[in-house]
Amino acid sequence: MNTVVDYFLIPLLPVMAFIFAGLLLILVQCFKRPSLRPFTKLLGFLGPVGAMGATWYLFKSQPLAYSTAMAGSYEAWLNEFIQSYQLDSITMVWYWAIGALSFVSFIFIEAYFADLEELPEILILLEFIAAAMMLLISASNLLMVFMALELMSLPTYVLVGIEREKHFGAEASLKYFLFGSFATVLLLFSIALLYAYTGSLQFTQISNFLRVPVGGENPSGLMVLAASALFIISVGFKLGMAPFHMWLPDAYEGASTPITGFMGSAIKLAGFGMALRLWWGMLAPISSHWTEILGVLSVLTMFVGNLGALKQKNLKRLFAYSSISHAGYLILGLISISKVGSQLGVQNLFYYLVVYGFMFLGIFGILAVIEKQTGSTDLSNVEGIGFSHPFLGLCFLVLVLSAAGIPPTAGFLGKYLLFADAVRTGHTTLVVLAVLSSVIGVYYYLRVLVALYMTEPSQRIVLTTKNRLVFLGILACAFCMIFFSFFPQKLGI
Amino acid sequence: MNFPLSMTYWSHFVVVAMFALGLLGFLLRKNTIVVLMSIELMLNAVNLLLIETSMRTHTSEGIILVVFVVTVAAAEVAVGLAIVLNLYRMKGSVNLDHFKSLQG
Repeated sequence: MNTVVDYFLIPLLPVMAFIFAGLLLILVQCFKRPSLRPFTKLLGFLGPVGAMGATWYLFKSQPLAYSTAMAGSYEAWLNEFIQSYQLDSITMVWYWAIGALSFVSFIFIEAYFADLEELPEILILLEFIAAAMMLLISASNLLMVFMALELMSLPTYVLVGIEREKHFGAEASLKYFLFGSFATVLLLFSIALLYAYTGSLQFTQISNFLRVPVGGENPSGLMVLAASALFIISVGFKLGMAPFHMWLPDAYEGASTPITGFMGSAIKLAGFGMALRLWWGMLAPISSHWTEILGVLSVLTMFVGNLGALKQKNLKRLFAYSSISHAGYLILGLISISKVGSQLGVQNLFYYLVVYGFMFLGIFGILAVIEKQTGSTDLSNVEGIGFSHPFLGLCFLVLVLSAAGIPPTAGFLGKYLLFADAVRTGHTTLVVLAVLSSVIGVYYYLRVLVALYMTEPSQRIVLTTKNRLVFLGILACAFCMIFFSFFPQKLGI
Repeated sequence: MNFPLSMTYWSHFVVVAMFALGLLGFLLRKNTIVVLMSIELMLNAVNLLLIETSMRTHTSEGIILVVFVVTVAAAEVAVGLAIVLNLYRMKGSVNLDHFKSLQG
C-alpha cells in the first residue's frame, strides 16, 4: 500500500471530515443564493457525522498501519508528521466524543440562529474549531500544540461576538480575546524556554531529556521551573482554573447561549486533552514540580465556582460558575492519574468529561429555547416550567441533578470515580475539601429545581420551537445522564 | 559557526526585558490598541529566544516555529482589531475602563 495513504490520509480522516465540510460550506456560501440555505444547514452536519463515521472506521480497521509507523524511514515531511501526530485507542474515543458533542451543539446552534444571515459563517467557524480540537488532542509536538490551539481559539473569539449588535457579546469577545491571547503568549514563552533548555519540541525527546539531562544539567533549574509554572498559568487560563478564571463567567454570559454550550462542553474536553498530553505526556518526569500546585488550585477552583454561583440570578452565569467548579473536579482527576496506573485514570477522567459535556450542553440547549422565547435567562423565567412543560422540566431536572452529583445520574458516578482515584493516590485532604465544596454546590442547584417545580410562575410562558430536532437533542443529553450511569462500560470504564 | 556564550547571555537579557515590558504594558495600559501592541511585543520576545536557541543548538525547529508564530500573530491582530472596531462603533471608545457592563 501507498505510505502516504497509510500514514497520512487514513489517520487524519476524522480531522479531514471537518475540514472538508468547512471548505465545502465556504464554496457553497460563495454563490450567495438564499435558495441554497437549507442545503447549507444540512451540509453543516457533514462534519460531525463524517468524523464519527471515520473514527468508527479507524476503530474497526485495527491494528492501524499508523501505529507501527517508524519515523525516519519515509520522506522528510512524512517523518515530521508521524512525529507530531499520535493516534492511539484512547485518542479515538476522544475523537468520537468530540464528534458527538459537536453534532448535538450544531442542532442547537442551527435552531437558535435560524433567522440570522450569518448562520453559514458560524457553521464554517465551528467546523474548523472541531478539526483543531482533534489535532490538539493528538498532538505530540509543541509546534502542533501551538498551531492547533490557535486554530481552535481564534474562531472562538469571533463566535463569542458573532451577534454584532449585542454589546454584551462584543464586550465578552474582547475579554475572551485579551485573556486568551495572553494565555497563548505565556504558553509560547514556556514552549520557548523548554526548547532553549532541551533543544527539541518533541514530547518524547523533552521528557527523555528531563529524565536524564544531557551534560549533567540540573532538571530543577530556573528555566524548567519557569516553564512549568508558565504551563500551569497558561493552561489554567484556557481551562478556567482559579485564580485565572475571571474571564470565564463574562465570556460564557456574553456569548450566545448555544455557543456557550459548545464552548463549555467540546472546547473544555479538548482543553483537558491538551492538558493531559502536556503534563503526563511531556512533563511527567518533573511531576513533583506541578502536581502539588495543581492540587491546591483545583480545590481553590471548586470553591470559587461553587461560592460564586450562590448569588447568581442569571442562569447562564450560574452555570458558568458551575462549570468552573466542574473544572476543579476534573483537575483533581488529572493529577490523580499518575500512580493509579495511567490507563484507568485517563478513562475515569474521560468518563467525567463526557458526562459533564453532555450535561452542560443539554442545560444550555434548554436555556437557548427559553431565551429564544422570553428574551432572557433569568431564574424567574424558568419558574413553574416543570408543570407547564413537563418534558423540558423533566430533562432539566435530570441534567441539574447530574450536575449536582445526585446518585441515579451519571454525574454522581463520575464524581465518585474521580474522588476514588484521588484517594488512592493519597490526595485525601483534597478529596475532603472537594466533597465539602460539592455540598455547597447542591444549594444553588436546588434553587434552580425549586424555581422549576415549587414556584408559581409570575407570567405564563409558552415554549416552542420550529425545529423539533432541538427537543430530540435535549432528550439525548438527558438520556445520556441516565444511560451512562447504568452502563458506564459504554464509555470504557 | 561557534556561538559565543556572551551572545547567549545578552540575547536572554534582551528577551526577558522585552517580555517584561510587554507584560507591564498588558497589565497596566488602558488603551485596547496599546494592549494589543504589548501582546505583539511579548510574541517578538519569544521569537528572539527561539531564534537564539535555534542558532545555539544547530536545530531548525525553532526557526520553523518562528515562521508560524509570525503568521498566527498577524491573524490574531486581525481578529483583535475587528473586535475592537466593533466595540468602538457601539461605545465610541477603546478605553478598557468603558467596557464594564458584564459584572458579578
